Amino acid sequence: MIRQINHTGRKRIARNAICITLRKVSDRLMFDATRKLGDYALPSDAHVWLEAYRQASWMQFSWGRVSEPLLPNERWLDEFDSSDGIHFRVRVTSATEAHRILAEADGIPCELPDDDSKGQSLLPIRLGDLGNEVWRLELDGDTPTLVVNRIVGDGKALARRPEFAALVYPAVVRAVFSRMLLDEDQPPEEEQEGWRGEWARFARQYLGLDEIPESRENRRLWIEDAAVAYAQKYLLAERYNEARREEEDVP
Amino acid sequence: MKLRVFKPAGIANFEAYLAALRADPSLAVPERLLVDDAFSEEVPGRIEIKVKQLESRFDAAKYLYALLDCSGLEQPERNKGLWAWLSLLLFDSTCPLESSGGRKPGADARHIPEVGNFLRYYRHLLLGPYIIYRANRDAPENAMALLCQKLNRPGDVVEQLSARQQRISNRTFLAVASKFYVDSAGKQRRGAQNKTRGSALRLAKVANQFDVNWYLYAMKPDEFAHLLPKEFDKFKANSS
Repeated sequence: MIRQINHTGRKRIARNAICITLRKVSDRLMFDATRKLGDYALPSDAHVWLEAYRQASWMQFSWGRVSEPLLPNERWLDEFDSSDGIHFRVRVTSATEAHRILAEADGIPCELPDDDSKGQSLLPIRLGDLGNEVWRLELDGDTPTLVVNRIVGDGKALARRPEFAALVYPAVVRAVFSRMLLDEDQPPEEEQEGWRGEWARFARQYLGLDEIPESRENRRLWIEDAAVAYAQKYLLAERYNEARREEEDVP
Repeated sequence: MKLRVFKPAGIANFEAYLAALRADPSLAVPERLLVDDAFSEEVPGRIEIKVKQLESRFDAAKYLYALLDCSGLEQPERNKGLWAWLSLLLFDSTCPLESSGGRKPGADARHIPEVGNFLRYYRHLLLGPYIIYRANRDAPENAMALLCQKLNRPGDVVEQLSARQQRISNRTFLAVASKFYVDSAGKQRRGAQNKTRGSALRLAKVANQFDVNWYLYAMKPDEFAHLLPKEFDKFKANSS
């Protein structure tokens, strides 16, 4: 691995130090945000800026000073017609030298509004009492659901972390498709309503898999292909490494 | 004509046509795909669109923004079938007949967008300018560095500047690039596309370096221009 030396003194803020949540108010998109900058030894009077962006669209909001996390009341994301694909960036700039960047975090994802996630998520997440298990996949309800142990803290945030995704989601993909294709008599049709049809469409349209094979042995191979394609599509190992590096970079 | 979107079969046939056109540049445009319900379907709202000859990226972006902004379509920029259909409808603009009597379509991505791929969507000859125009709709003249080119020949400046999100979403950067490299008649200045000192490509590289230390988004265009090294003096003088 080529190590990059940072000569600028600019600090990299870990993405998990910033939490952005979107919500809809009267059909307009708004965000809430929290941050933990205490570990970065930044000047208390430095300015903090928050940017939302997607493709060429961009909005900027002042986020007060390091010592004073004041967000504006008007936090509408009117530049974006949906929450899809919006990312955030935080920049901390010097109060004494105009426009000088002291620290930044880029590519910060956001939590989606409840109504969006309900409509779109193939895998709803809920908190539960799991003893000493961290997570469990429920396959016997209305839809496959990922249950995260409530004692691990913010379980929903945990489930969105790249490390968690890399270690857990390929196993989830295998388990869901095994239930659909090996444990049940009839394989689902893509046109079928309900979670079976949604997962079948997901495999074909997003993972680019062939049609579900007839034979049981070929279905086993297809399920393996699904887990591999999922990991590749979401670059799980790369994102895992990136997240680990960010944690190591935190001063 | 009413605005329509391609179904998957329409996109597949358009792809096949582009491949065949590379082998036989005189192949006729398959206009049937535009109206045949097997290949395309009408967008709700019965939106009227006229076939026009669009010369520049700006002309196309302005026309399509006006059309789609009031269309009620949700996230039109993500609709692959829409942009592929528009490309075929406006094929005489995006892939005009050459003097030889044939057409040179170039890569598929120029006509059928890779909507999920930020690094490639801009290659689409209609969607790329549309997104840039929409993001700068309050002052599109500030984005002319990316919109002044001929529609079917975007060139290196667009190729190099559009591929980086921090360049095309940065209004300060775009305003300076537009002042430097677009003349008062709205044409790209000579030298803008070179790879030599002071060119647009160099401006992008220098801005990438500045990004490490300076918050360019918060600067005024003049502040950014003031920071630039001497190699840009010629263009600074042209723009003042």
